[in-house]
Amino acid sequence: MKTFIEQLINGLSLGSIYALIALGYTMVYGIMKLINFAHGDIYMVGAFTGFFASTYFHLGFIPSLLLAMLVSLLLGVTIERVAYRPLRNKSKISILITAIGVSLLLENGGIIILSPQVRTYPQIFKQHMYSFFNGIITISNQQIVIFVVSIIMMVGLQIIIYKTKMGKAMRAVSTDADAAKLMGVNVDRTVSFTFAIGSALAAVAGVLVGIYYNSIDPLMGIMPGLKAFIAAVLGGIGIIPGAMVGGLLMGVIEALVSGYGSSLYRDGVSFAILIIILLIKPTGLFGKNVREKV
Amino acid sequence: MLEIKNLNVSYGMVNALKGINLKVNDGEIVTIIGANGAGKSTTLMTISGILKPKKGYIKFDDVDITKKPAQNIVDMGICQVPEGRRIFANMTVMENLEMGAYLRKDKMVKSDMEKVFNLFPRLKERHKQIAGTLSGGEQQMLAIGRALMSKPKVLLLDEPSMGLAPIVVQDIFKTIKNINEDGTTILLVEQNAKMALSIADRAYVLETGNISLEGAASVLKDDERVKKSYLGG
Repeated sequence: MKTFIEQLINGLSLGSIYALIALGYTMVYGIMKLINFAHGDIYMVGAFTGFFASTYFHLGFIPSLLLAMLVSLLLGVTIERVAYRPLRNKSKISILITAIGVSLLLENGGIIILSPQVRTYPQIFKQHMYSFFNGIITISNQQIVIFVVSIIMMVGLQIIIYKTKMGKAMRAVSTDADAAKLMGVNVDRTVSFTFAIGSALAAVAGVLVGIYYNSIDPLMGIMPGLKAFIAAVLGGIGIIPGAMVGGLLMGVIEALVSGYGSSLYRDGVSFAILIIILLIKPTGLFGKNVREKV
Repeated sequence: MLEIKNLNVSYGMVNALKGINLKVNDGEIVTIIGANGAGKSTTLMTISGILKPKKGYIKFDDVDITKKPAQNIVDMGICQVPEGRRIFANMTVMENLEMGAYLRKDKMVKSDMEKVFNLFPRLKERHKQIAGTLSGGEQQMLAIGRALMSKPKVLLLDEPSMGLAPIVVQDIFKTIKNINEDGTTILLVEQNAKMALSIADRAYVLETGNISLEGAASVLKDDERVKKSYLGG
């Protein structure tokens, strides 16, 4: 029981991080039907920004986090503007290949500029364990920070999407971009905004991972990027609550596999889940069957 | 108030419009009738700025709008109810109407929504419902209501009768007439030529990208060629 709860808490922490990354994938997919393969690398840039902000500029947690969000946001918006927008009306495959290209550029650019070495994240929060119910539940302050920050971000996102004009425009564009244009929505600006939010959330995930695992490197975005992508597909790509649930589920499954089986099987199991989900419910847990209009 | 000159639009190699001329005067109901693929929707989409013409121009109140982006055209007072309604299916009725007022910053949005609800009481009953669950007729009402929320000077309507029961079509056309009487100019594209000619002031017949006939609706209604091709003999 104790191991189970421990792994559950670990899984939820990891899962919150996956969820934050998955949200960016799913939002961008929702609005322009593109899997932004560079998303994991935007998360890496966020982690490094947080690292530099706290190590060299000695900024506290919140300023570092905000700076990381800002840098990733600008990067995400720039990538969309420079690499994706000119291809928006071209074939889907060219924009997809471009996304892979941008991803490789960021990874290898990161290796050149930042050096491939693994950096140790500063201990922004000195680790401290809290235990409840005679030690049945133990939770670290870092995990609490992950939960609190993730929840704030997800609630914030819901407010933006359901309560603001921009959020309404995002939803309208994702349902029918031309109809949104006919209502006067500036689709370019809405797409930029979507990239901005998705990238900022990825940066949050990057900083949280740095704090949780203490180490970052320029290729750190590849695996979590893939996992978060799986999480987004698991929940139903393009569906925001799906990304949240998919991310959490993914984290919990990984933690349980590591806890009860072996951590060597962790990635294998994640990908096996993707295959099974795609076989049984191709549209994901929250997905609906969409009939293509002919 | 709306003037189209020598408009040429093509999709790749296919010329959908081959130089049409068309005019809509203030306060009129003008209809474009024609068969499938004649270029009716293309005309409206080009006016709205979604498609860009190869040649020709579109002027609105003497301002050239041919190259303006779609949102500016809406802002100037031209709003379209597109073919197949294209409401935002996973948003509520209310949110759809708010989307219609997307560019408006004035304080009258609330009272205009009441006006739309007066025009379509069914929408008021269902204002919290997800738009995709409405019936076809209700979705058409919503699409018209949504466009009205932008306070258009010209309302472009693309096949409002499509897929609706005859009795619902009658209702919709009565409403269109009412909207016009309240001062909104209307450009109506229809396959249902009989209904369209019954409410329009003037009409154009579009045939594979060219205007083949034009004139007062009351005259075209009795024109032998129109009768034969579009009114079922």
